[in-house]
Amino acid sequence: MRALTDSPYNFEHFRTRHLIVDAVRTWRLSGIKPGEYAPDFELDDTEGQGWQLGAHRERAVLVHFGSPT
Amino acid sequence: MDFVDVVTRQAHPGPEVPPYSTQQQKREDAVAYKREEHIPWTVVVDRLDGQVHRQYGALPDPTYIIDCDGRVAFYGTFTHAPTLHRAFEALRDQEWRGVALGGYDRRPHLFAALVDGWPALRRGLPQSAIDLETATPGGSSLPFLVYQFRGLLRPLARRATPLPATTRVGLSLAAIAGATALVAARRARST
Repeated sequence: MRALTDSPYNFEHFRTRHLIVDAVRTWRLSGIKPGEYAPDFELDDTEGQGWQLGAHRERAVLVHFGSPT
Repeated sequence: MDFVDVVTRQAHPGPEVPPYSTQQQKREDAVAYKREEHIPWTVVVDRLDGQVHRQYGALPDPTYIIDCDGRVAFYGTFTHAPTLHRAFEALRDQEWRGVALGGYDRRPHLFAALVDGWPALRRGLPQSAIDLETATPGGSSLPFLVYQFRGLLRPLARRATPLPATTRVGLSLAAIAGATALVAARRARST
C-alpha cells in the first residue's frame, strides 16, 4: 500500500494504482469517521476570502471534495 | 444547512489542465470550475499539497455532512444526491445532531458519473481519456457513450430524492424485459 500511495499528490497521469488506492481507502473508510469531530480548517474561497469550517457551528454543513477533471 | 465545495487536484490531467504547480493556478482553475459547473455555493481552494483533502481521506468524490456540534453525521465516500437527501432528512429529524442514516455509505454510485462524467474528462483531452481508458478499460469510452444519451438519462442521474418504490420496480421490470428481448432476438438470429 505504501508503494502505491508514494505517488505525488498532484500526479501527472491517472494510473490503475490510483484506482486501487481509492478502492482500499473506500473499503477502510479513510478519513473522519461518523461521530468524530470534523477537524477545523480555513481556506480561501474563489473570491480570495477566508472560509473557516469552525465558524459554521450551530448550523449543519455539507462539505464536498471534488476535482474540476 | 451550509454547502461548501473543496477543490482538490486534477484527477484526470491533460495538456490544458496540467497538475497544479502553484496556488494561484489552482485558484484560477477553481474560479473557472465554479463558473462552468454553475456551482451556486461557496467553492474553496485546498492547499497545493491537498492538506485538508488528505486529512479527510483523499477519496476522489466524497461528501461529509457535519452536524451542529461539529461532528461527522454522515460520510458518503462516493457522492450520491438521493442518499445525501435521506441523510439530510434523518439529521433534520434528529434536530441536526448525531450520526444520521448509519453514518456512512461507501457504495460506488457510478450512474451519475457515467451520465455526467464526460465534461470533466473532456477538459483534459486527449491525455485524460487515454490515461483512464488504459487504467480501466471502458473508463472513458463508456462515459462518452452514455453522455450522448444525457437528455434521456439526466432526470434519473441528477435526481435529488430517492426513486419511489413503484418506479424502481417498474425500471427493474423494464430492464429484465429488455434483456430478455435482447437474448431472444440473438437466439432467433442464430437459428
